[in-house]
This record gives sequence, structure tokens and C-alpha cells, in this order.
Amino acid sequence: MTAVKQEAARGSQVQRGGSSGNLYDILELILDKGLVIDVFVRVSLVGIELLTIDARIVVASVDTYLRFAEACNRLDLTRASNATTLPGLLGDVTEKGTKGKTKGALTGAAETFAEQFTNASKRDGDEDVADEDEAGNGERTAAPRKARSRRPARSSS
Amino acid sequence: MSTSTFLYGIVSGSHPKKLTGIRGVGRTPGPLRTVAADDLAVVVSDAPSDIRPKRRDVAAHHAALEALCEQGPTLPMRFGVLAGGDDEIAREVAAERDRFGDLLTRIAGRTEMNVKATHDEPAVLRMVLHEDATLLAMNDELRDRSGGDHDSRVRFGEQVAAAVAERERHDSGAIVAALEPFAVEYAEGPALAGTFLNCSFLVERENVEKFRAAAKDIGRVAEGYLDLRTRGPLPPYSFAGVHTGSG
Repeated sequence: MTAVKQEAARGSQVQRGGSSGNLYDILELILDKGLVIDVFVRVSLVGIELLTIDARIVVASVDTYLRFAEACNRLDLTRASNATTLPGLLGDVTEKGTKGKTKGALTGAAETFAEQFTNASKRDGDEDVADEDEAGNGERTAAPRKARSRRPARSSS
Repeated sequence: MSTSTFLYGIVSGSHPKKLTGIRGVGRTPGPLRTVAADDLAVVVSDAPSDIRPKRRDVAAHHAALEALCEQGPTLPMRFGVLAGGDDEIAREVAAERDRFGDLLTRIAGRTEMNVKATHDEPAVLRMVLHEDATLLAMNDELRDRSGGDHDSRVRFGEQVAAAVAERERHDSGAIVAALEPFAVEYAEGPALAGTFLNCSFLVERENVEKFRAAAKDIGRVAEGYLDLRTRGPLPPYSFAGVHTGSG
């Protein structure tokens, strides 16, 4: 995880493409996406494709479970801020609109995120909230929004 | 491998196709050239016999496409597509002229922005423990027993992993919902280790800065809990093939 986070930190610095700099962070797009024409052959990617496939295998192993268990045991859960880490903070965001952490945010994206995030958190403890199509089957259309929320700027056509 | 041709991308006839100065793949790259296919053109170069997915060649492929995309709509090929020769390319691309023409229309004036998100592990673990009293109690109990026995730890860790996966699904949904208004459509990318969201958005070029600002806003509000990395403008790799979720 440490390595991943270092990579992440490095990636956040890079805004613009640029072939030399940080190819690593988009390698899977160049190798797994893009147009393929069936009748043409493709260079063998032995060794490289394994990098991305491994990601899916690692997720559900006993080693991962043990690692999670140990990491949880090590957590300092007594710190006052812990209990409110995000549901609390983001809850404030939605309550107070542009105050708090979204102060200065211009796009409305932070509010939408906070709202979705908070809804998800609440739903975990409330089976009655019917919002089935909200999380993740790739075909979402418009994000469900609370009436009091600021709408994000609609900039697409 | 005998002589063959390496494909970079497909462009329309009206694309400027300024190829001088663009470096191709290979140790001693040959010049890029175009092969006409109906009213489209395919940007190619001779393929070196030792073509491999090396950093140098992947970078050259990507850089060539970036240069072509700057000039006009370009359908990026996946890295490493090889054809027998120019005649074969002209024939096969012309045969699917309408499909490629539609794809070029779809990406015209637009670009790909890729967003990856990673949780801070301690933060997400705290989150799932605080969200579920049962997990929190199990954690306390195992800690009191100095970690507990192997089976208990595996069982506990499995439940934590499931809760984290659920959290990843929710958070992915929240990020996509927040960014989607700034994009035309989006496509999920391949799963990557340590990254719970890998999603590419097709964005109008004039909205790139807004999209970037939106991603930055989310990154700021969730700072310490997740890390959001935005890359782009990129050649529209994720929108050069199968149509996926639209926004």
C-alpha cells in the first residue's frame, strides 16, 4: 500500500500528458484500450498484461484478510477526530452548502460528491432507503440530488 | 516477424496530418506516413522487427498520438497493432469506413480525462469500522486477545474486506456522479491494484479546465480519505472502440 500511495502522490503532480513523465499511470489505457482491428495482429504483451491482471487476483485472498485484520487492530480508534472522519465532515458540507471544506469550490462537484457519499453512508444503516440504481452498474444517468442542494454546473451539451 | 506496418491511429481526410518531427516506435524509428483508406487516413510507420511493449516504444506510440490529437480528431490504436502492409491496411480500414467515421465524429472536439482514486488505507478502515458496530466489536475483541486465533482473524479480515469493497463501490459512484456533469460520457478502465476507481471521461475540449477544477474540488473535500489523480487531455483510448456508459 505504501508503494501505491507513493505512486499516487507522484501521479497527482502530473496534470498534462507528456510521454516521458508518468507513463505508468496511464499504461493500462495505452495497452488495454484504444482501437483494435480484428484482422491485424498485435505485439505480444507477455509480462505487461500480467501487471493489470494480478490486481484482480490479489483482492480476495487469505493474506489480504489477515493484513486487513492486523491493520484494523493497529488503528488508533480513540482519537477524537476518527469518529467523524468523513461522514461527519461531509455531512457538514451538505448542511452548510458552500461552507466548510468546500469553501472556495466553484464547480459544485464537491457538493455532489459529499451528498452521494453521505447518502451511501446513511443507507448502510437503513435498508429501507430505496436507491438501488445509485451505486455502480456503469449506466448511471443523472445523479440523484436532494432538493436543497446546489446543482453542479451543467456544462455538457 | 517479417516486414510489417505499425499503426498509430486513424484520422479523417481533413486532418492536417503534419507528421514531421513525430518520432515513431523502434530503436531507429522510421518516418511516420499515412495510408489512405477511402476518405480516411491511417497513420503508420514501418514496424521494427524487435517491436516489444518497451517503455520507449509505448511512450513513442503515446507521444505520436498526442501530437496527432493536437491537430485534429484522431482514433488512437491500442499499442502494438501490426498489419502486413499498406494494401491490407487500406482495404481493411476502408471496409469499416462508416464505423471509424462514426467514432471520429464521436470524439471530434473532445478529449479523454482519466481519473484514478485510491483510499488512504487507515482512513477507509476507520470508516468501515465506525459504520458497523459489529465489526468494531470484533476488532476490540481480537485486539484484547492479542489478535486472536488464525481463523478468527481471517473471518474478521474477510468481513472488513467486504465492507471496504462496498465502500469502494459507493465512493466510486459518488465520484462518477460528481464528475459526470462535466463530461459527455464515461468508461470504466481496467482494474488496477490499489486503485478503486479507474474511470475515463470524454470531455469537450472547452470543458477540460472545468473538469479539472471539479476533480480538484472533490480531491480537496475528501483529502486524507482518498487521493484523486487526474490525467489528461489524453488521446481518447477509452472511446475508440465499444460504446460504454453515457452521461
